[in-house]
Amino acid sequence: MKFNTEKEKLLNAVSLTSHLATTRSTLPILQNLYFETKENRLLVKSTDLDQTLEVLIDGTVNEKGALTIPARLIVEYLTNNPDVSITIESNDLDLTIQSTNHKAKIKGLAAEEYPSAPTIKPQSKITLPLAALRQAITRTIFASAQDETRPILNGLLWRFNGKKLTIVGTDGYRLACQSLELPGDQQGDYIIPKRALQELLKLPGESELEVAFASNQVRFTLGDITLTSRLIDGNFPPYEAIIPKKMNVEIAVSASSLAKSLKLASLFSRDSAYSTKVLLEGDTIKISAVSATIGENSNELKLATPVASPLNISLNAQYLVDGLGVVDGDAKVGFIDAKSPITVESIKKDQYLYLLMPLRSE
Amino acid sequence: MTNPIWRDILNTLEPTMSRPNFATWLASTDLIEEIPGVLTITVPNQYAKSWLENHIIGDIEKLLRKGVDNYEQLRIVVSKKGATSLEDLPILQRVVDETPNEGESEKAPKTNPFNPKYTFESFIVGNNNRLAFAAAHAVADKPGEAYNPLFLYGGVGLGKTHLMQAVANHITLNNPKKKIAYVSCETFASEFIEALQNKAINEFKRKYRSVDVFLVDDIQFLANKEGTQEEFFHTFNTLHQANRQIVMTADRMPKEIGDLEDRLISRIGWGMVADIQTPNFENRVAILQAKAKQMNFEAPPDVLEYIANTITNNIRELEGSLTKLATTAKVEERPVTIELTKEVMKDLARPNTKNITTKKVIKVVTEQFGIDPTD
Repeated sequence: MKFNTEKEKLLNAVSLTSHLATTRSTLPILQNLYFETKENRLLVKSTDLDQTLEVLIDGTVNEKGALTIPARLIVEYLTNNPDVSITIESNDLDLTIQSTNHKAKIKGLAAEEYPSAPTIKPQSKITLPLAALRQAITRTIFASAQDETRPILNGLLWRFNGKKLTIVGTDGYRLACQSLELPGDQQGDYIIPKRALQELLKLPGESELEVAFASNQVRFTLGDITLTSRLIDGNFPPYEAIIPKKMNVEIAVSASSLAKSLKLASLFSRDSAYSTKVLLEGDTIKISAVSATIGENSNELKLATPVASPLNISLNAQYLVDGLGVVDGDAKVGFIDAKSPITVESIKKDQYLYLLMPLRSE
Repeated sequence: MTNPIWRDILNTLEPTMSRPNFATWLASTDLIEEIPGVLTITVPNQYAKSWLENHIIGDIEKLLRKGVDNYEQLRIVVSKKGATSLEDLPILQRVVDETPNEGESEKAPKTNPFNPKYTFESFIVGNNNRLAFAAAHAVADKPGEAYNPLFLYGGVGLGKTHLMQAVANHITLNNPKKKIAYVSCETFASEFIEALQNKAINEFKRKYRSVDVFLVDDIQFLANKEGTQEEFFHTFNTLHQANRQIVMTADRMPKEIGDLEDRLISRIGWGMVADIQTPNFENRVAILQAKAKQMNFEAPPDVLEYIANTITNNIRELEGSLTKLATTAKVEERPVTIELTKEVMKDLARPNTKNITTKKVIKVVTEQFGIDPTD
């Protein structure tokens, strides 16, 4: 293998793919990146066995071939290499990196030993605007489960229904969902692992993203970059059932000031699952937290319109802060009673809904 | 649980290949279906399927032909990760089941399942258990608010269960509506297994995930019980997230309980971990005095001191000896003397005849290291 290209292109490709080259794997070769010439381009590939990233870069192929190279080393080497043009050349299991003023030889592992999987056969394809998709994922992914004990909740639901895509994340205690308008018709539910979507968020650019679904895999293609992931099997919980039809009290507040008050209170409720009391009365919202060991805090915010009847509710301040964090400007927060879900939306009606359960307290 | 046929094959293959290859590609495979001649194995991902097909399928088939009657074909499928049940979603559960349950629980007759003798008042506080006592009291005063979870550990018969039941009694007294679950870890495990067998797992989950106060005794029994640990972990999470009080006891520190999952250990660390040490001589005498008073039994101080000196590390035995002494004295109508006490306690005798003195320490140390005490 002998290939010449701009250093920046090679660096971008290895940086991106290196995310999946984990050191945690039982198989040492998975810490490497896979290089292979494809006609006049170079393919850089990595996988953690569940997700796969492939990047094609332009350049000049002088000699065909393939090799795997330790990911971290080549990323750091190229990051610190100031030269503009770069040539990589394999000789048996060594890779020589030659640029104007610098030269390195890196020991690799045979390409044949790198795991391979057949390319997927898509059953349906759709093109989505990356920018809107990125926002939808950012606004929902934080509500999905952190631990890996409930695989379904470790992914986000993508529900295609006609010209609408709804993305939903939940960890069982709170739920976030965002809808998008689609250019074309599509049907179906897919649960995509959080890990894959975290990678998707890191893909550069604002262009169109092609999404292809196969029976148990999904493939995202953005220009020369391809991200493939397995899908999580199973049925997503019927989340619509818990979205309240009507709220008793709705308040409009600045999302950032409410979040700030909650953050102050959460400093005093860390040892009790961020249990914070919210009291709505007249034109005031009072937020307070008490800790037996740390101390206490209380905050007041004025409401534009007074509430009809007072409401006292306990909730996890951190969860509400998370929901307010993705809302720009003013938020609409809805309550029913001390036992029913609390909703957070943007006043702008941007098809986003966040929901959390209050904590029960006597 | 790996299928025995497959287990044998894995055992045969393991020494023939490199450790990373085995761990990555074969360790989490299993034989899931065996219809005459056709075997289906699951692999964790597409890559594993390709790897097996490219590298090792010949060897596997050879082994299968030897080990399985009428072997015809091997199918490899990628396992279906997933399938979470609704029961794992408290947000949904609470909305759905909360309301009807409440009426029921009010109708149910309120019996107090806890031993009424075990209260905070009857607990003798000393330096050995002051922290544990204070923490338990705070928890009982404000369940879910003070220390959550509270983890108490200490040796056998030092009062862990007493404190835990005192928490339950205190809460029942102040707040009879609170749902309290008190369970020993063994009961939890056996109920869990029973529920699995009777397919009543949802009922089991609901039972433990709807309580306000969850008290678990002897969690060291969770060691080596993976399934129960997993279930316990989820119960723990659900309750903790909902701000319900959790109290646990064990005979040693969380870290020292072998084979407890790290995530569980770290969660235990979120709250307060308090230890109960063995009581010192003065505490032991105080405990005996309290017990004697409670039994209306008059015992001379030297007798109490003798008992306190004989039994040094177990309060249950300490109290047991006193009860035994009182009964013997009453039945045989003999005066309570040191002689009688010695007689009663001879089968328990593990006397700590001498309190440790500086002299003794010097003697033991010098003997051990073979040095002259005068040095």
